[in-house]
Amino acid sequence: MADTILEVKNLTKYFKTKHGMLHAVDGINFKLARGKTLGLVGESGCGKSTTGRTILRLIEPTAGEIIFEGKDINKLSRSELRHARKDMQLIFQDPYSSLDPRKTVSQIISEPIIANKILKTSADIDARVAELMSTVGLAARLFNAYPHELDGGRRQRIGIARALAMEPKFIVCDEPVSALDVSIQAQILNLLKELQAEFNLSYIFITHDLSVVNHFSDEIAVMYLGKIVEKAPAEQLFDNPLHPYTKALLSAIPIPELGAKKERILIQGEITSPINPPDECRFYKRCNYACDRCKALPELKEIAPDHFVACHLVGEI
Amino acid sequence: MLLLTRASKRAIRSEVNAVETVKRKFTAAELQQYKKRSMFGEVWRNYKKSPSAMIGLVVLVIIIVVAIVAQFIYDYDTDIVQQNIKERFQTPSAEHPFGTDQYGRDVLTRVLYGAKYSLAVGIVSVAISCVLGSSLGLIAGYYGGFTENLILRVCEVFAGIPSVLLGIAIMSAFGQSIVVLMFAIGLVYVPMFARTARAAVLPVRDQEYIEAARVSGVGDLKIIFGHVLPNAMSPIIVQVTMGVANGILTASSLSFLGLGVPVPAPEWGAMLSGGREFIRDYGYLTLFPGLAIMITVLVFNLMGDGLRDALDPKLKQ
Amino acid sequence: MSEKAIEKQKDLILDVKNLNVRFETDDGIVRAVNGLDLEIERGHAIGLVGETGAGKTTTALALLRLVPDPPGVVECEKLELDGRDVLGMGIKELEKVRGKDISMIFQDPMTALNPVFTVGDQIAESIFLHEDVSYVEAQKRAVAMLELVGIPGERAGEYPHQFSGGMKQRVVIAIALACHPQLLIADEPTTALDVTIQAQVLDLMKNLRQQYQTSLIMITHDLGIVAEICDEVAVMYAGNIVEKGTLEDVFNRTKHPYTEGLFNSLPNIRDRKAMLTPIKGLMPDPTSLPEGCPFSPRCPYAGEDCTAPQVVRNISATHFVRCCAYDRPGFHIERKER
Repeated sequence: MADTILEVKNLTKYFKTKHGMLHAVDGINFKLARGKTLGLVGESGCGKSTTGRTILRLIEPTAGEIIFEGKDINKLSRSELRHARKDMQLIFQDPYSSLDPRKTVSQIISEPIIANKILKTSADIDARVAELMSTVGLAARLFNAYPHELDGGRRQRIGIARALAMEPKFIVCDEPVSALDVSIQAQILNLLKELQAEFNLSYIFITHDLSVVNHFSDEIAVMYLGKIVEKAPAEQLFDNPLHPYTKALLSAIPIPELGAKKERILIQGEITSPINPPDECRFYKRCNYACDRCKALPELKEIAPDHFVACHLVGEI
Repeated sequence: MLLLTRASKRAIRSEVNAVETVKRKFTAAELQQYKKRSMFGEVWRNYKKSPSAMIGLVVLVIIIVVAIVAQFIYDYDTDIVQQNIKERFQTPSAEHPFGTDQYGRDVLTRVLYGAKYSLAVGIVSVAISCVLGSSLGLIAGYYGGFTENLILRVCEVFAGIPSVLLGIAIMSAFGQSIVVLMFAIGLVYVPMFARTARAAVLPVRDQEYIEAARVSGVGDLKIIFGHVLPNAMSPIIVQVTMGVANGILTASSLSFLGLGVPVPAPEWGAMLSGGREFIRDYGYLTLFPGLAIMITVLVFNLMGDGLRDALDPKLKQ
Repeated sequence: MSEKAIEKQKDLILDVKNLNVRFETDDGIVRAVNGLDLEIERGHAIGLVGETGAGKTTTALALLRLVPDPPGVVECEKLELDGRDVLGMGIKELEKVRGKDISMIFQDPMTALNPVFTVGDQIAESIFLHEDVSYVEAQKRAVAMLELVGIPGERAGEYPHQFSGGMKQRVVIAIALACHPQLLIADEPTTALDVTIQAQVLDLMKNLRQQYQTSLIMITHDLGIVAEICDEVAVMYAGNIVEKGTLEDVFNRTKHPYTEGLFNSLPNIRDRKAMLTPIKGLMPDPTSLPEGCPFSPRCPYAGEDCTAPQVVRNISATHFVRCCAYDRPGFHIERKER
């Protein structure tokens, strides 16, 4: 990986709660190559959204390094951070709550341009907003529309246009299509792919939908209770999942085809509490293969080239 | 892997274009037709739609005009305060439509002339408490944590003191004049506004568009006044309309205690409390100033409701 | 002649003819359901598939006669549940039917349970209301129901907040099945759940349905879930069923252009490089539906004949499609039969 745009080392975020330390993100490591997409998959509460926000320093990490284009984001001062944020943007899950209902489409898209004083005159700003709108496929007649007048797909396009306004190099997409209908979802996924090719963008694509992440990512990291349990190139992860959790997750996807019925691996119970988790394999309590060895926390080890798994029993199950 | 072939790229592009519009640059002239939904024009158009709000506005204008005209046609010394014991306690008649009070002064004249005191005290004091209180509430709600606790606790201490008592304390410390009265009432209602504003900010604070603004590099102050305030406005506006009413009534109480507008001046509250001892035999002495206060308060409430609705873009069509 | 014979044999649990629901709002009349016909045979599971605003939930509410009125107006030629006319029922009778013969599982388990009663009480209440049993007996049955859905019986005395999302949905299912209804309507029962939990809940529903021979209407936007637990599929668009048939009919011998569009929009888990082909445009505004076929403005095969009123076209005894393009000689859609 010669051209790494982002490297995350031992990223950790604990939240203090009434009942103890909540381990939202617990020492994760990964690299993202320029122009590529890393899919971050997991169920609710696994820390994937916290990871995305911590990378942008919207949440201050407890420990770890976030090296973006050679600079440690964690060590930047406020003004330096503001400068760095031009290159790092976020696309939100909810196209309803992520747009200020009292601002028009053009006000929303122009906000980053004005805040960072990129363009001065209002004619220039309007022209840039119109350009961005056409880039994401929004009709110019929506220039002064309010978000509530638009449907979910168009709203998500506004969010994308706002993220693109600063000409970022890297975008965290936090479940960008989860709130959308299938036909609209496909429109947005195609748009994101097209933009990636056009502007050489690097994405971190956070989602719980495995069929979407498979379609979209080059590499996929599966998270469970704040830890990455398996990371591999997308094809490899889907063809040859090694971690018991990944296996269960993949087998749980309902496939819209007949005769696609395959062995379903049902796992017991639900995600356990991330508050003060014991020092055992995070998946221990639900794993069908758990044994005594699993009482020690497994390391993320490279099993095959680029294929990392955190499980003591790899190869045995 | 993600370097799409030229053909597939074209395919995606054609899809995106099919969805919305052909990709092209827009000229300034073209954009001009979609501009400019002026903020003020829009609010006014919506405000006009509500008959009750319009009635409120018309009546308020009438009250203000009467208050101004009364200054010119009546002479303070001869028409307003000069006693005429011979004509005391006259019930309403053609000569004295509202009757005369215990000193033989014409009640109608005094009510009309007194409009300026009540309006000024009500509006100015609310302006003071709204600006101060809402700012404190916004800051408390937006930043949370220690700042929030500090502001809230101080507000609670002040809210614990009965408003009239606090008013008395301020009036006696700074002397008796209408300006001090305005400030005193303004300060008394600061905690109420602070709490209302803070409560209104809480749900807005966690919306994703606030986060989006931060990612876009918008400063805190701009976020507070550009995003948080407009979305937290409704309860504050309601509070303002109630505040005007409260301000007028508190001013009356203070006047009653001899601490408000100095005695012979025909402030409505003072007239109301002056007529109180004769309420059994000469009810009209309290009826007319009371009606005046009631109508003024009602007018502000009607306008507040209309304004709140007009400012909400979701109701715009 | 033979058709009539078939009709007689059908043992219908639900028979709906020409159901119309509209909401009369200030902004105009929202036509949520437009002339929907639906027949469900006893013991069958039918998937009602469609996107937001297709009228799936409104249809379900109309079957229970729960559409809020005003602004809702429901018109229907025939609405029979197990041979009984639901349209003519009074409130008392309806209350007996709801929860007893027909019950519903809602999308969000977090809000479907009352936070101030224990889950045991909430299950027992449904049994107590509909069956002639003592409250103690109802409580006992509630515990048994809990165990049936895979929750230890001793947790009957706990409150909803002590359960996780998946557990709550199990409790909701237990309440819905407590009186062994003949028809169960599940409105996106797993949308709020994680995939692994969804798999558990679907598994549970499948087993229980087999056990009790309950008929099921599964409302969902996920064709994968339909493939997993339904026998039949009805695809809804703009308030009407545009295609209905058995799983094989709809999945392998797709006929309607909208159904085809839905399939093409889904990422293919086996072929990750396959392009997604979205359906162009947006759902029509339900206050002003286009003339004729509501899908025609987005349809790649649309022609002049599409503005005519749409009639149902039978492909086979089980499969019908609402698309006039099949009147054109030699018309077929691009999706291949399998």
